[in-house]
Amino acid sequence: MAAIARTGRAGIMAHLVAGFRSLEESEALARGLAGNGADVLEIQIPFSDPTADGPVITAACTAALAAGATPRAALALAGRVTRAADVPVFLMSYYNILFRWEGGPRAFFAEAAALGVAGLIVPDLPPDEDAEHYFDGCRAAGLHPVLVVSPNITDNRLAALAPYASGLVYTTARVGTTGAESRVLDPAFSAYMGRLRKAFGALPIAVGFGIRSRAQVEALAGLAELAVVGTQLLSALAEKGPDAACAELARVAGR
Amino acid sequence: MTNGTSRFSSLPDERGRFGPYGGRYVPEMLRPPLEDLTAAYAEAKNDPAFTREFERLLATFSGRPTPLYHAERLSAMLGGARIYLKQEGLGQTGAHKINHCLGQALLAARMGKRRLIAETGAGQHGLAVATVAARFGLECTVYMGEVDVRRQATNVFWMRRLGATVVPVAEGTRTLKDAVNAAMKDWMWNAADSYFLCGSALGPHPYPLIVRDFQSVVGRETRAQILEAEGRLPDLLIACVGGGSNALGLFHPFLDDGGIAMIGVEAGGRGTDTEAHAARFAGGHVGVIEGYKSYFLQTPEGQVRPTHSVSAGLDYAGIGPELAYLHDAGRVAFASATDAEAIDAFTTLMRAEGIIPALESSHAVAHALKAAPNLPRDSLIVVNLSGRGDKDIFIVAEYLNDRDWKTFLKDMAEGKYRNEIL
Repeated sequence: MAAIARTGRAGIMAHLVAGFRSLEESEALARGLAGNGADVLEIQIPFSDPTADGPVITAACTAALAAGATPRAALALAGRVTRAADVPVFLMSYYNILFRWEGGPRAFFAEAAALGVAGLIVPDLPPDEDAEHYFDGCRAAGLHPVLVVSPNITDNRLAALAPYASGLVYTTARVGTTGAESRVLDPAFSAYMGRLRKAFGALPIAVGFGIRSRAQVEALAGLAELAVVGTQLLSALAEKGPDAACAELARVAGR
Repeated sequence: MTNGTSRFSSLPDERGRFGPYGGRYVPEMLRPPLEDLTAAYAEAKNDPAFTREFERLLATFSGRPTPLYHAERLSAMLGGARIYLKQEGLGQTGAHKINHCLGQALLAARMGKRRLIAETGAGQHGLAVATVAARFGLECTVYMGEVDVRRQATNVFWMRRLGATVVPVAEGTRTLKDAVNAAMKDWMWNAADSYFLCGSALGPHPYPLIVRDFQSVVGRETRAQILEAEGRLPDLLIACVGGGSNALGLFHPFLDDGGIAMIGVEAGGRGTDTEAHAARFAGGHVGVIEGYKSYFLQTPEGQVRPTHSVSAGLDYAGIGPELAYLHDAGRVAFASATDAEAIDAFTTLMRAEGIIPALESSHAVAHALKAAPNLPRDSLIVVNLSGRGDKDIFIVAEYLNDRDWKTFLKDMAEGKYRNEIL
């Protein structure tokens, strides 16, 4: 991450859904993405009701579940990817998957940490609802509990969340769900990124939701450390297969 | 009972918690609109003008109070308790849903929103939303699972005639939970100018509170009406439970009264020993889904399970957090009625009293049929007849395989009677 910061460009966090279209393909895809411009991988554990996701990722989750992907298989996949690819791997899912994990969230943290996972991205667990001590448990296990924020956040809320930030801060480029293109070139977005810097100091910032083009990634240089590319890759994967998804990533990343 | 009481009716706490349930498990993006809504509702609740306008609309637009009807023939037939029916089906749009729709539409207008977003299962909530949207001059989009669009075509027809855009949801199980997701996603994009008009006492805080408050007019009226009719409070309250809006509406004003039993009747589908049901307290587990913590029908790995009920309005994997709390506290008991029992109850009530209940409400009636004969003749049961059954014409006809009706539909579709009608 520090290496990325020195280059002055925005690095790429590539997002995939575990088990879409199959677990074997996801593993090959993850390696391929790491070799085609991904600086970080974000592997989504499929959930039946992904409330922050747009139609493409929602459909990928449904298809992955129908193909038999389970949270445990997704975790094992992440373990194989951390061993094979030399990039940090984050797991993304919704809180119920951790809440229902056999042995509870803490057992999940321990297993994920043992497999070399860098951190967790769980958009529907704000620190206010942390009855099961997710944030503490994550950190105690050596995982980063990644905060997910959005441009409609208030300064008071940013200040309240800052102590929970760890590893990196994930912000959506706009309100709405994943997928449809975002505008990251306008002054309001730059001003928002300035507010995040002020709240979170030196922590790397990843910008996701609607990042689909080389121009957007270039526009993020100097504003964010990571551009998250997800829906664009899944669309290519669904239509043409893993090679096309890797080629798409290389195009967006400018490799 | 003063001591033990306030613990039931004083919830939720300021974070929207009913004991361990409820809360606001949402992405940060939804926090500002939910906080705006919480503040706007708190302000409206303390404004006597808001309450006056709500009550005026309930009376003049919806036709409240709805009658509390003594079902004498049904009671005599069963030979036990005296059964009263709270006739929510007689309100505007034919179900209790209009209560929280009028309240929330007033709130939306007060907040300056120009558009309503809603989910619907049976279409009764969607119909009520489309109705208040027309009444308040607001745009309206209703999300409805593809399966439910087919099951409740009459309500879809009327929603569209009222000017609403009905969006069939093809994701997931294509039923109510997927419609809830789709509506919340629309809101994530459009919270600035749109109001998410939640259709039951569930979802992230403050929806469980808002919906329950607006629905509690049902229980308040019932209280006054039963005192008027019998000079005392009832012994048993029965309501069907999908998300919980009609059940909490009836139960809530009685929670702090000792000696009143309450039973929520869930959809037993093809039997709670099969996978095809929606009885959360017969096989559900605590989870965090769609923004709140409660009981959900889910796999051991935490994926929401498909549900089944002959009534689309009860066909939902989750249950409102307040009912989850009241279940654990032992204040409300839960039972289930199967599809077959609900259809039997539907027929029984029609023949005994000349009242066509909604299939949802028929689940509550089914339980009353079981409970009443075992109770003394001087005991009092109130059943919330949450809606009327006109909307269920296609389902009942299919279930009972009514050939005359099907022939008629076929002929209609082919334009056979066009000249006679137009």
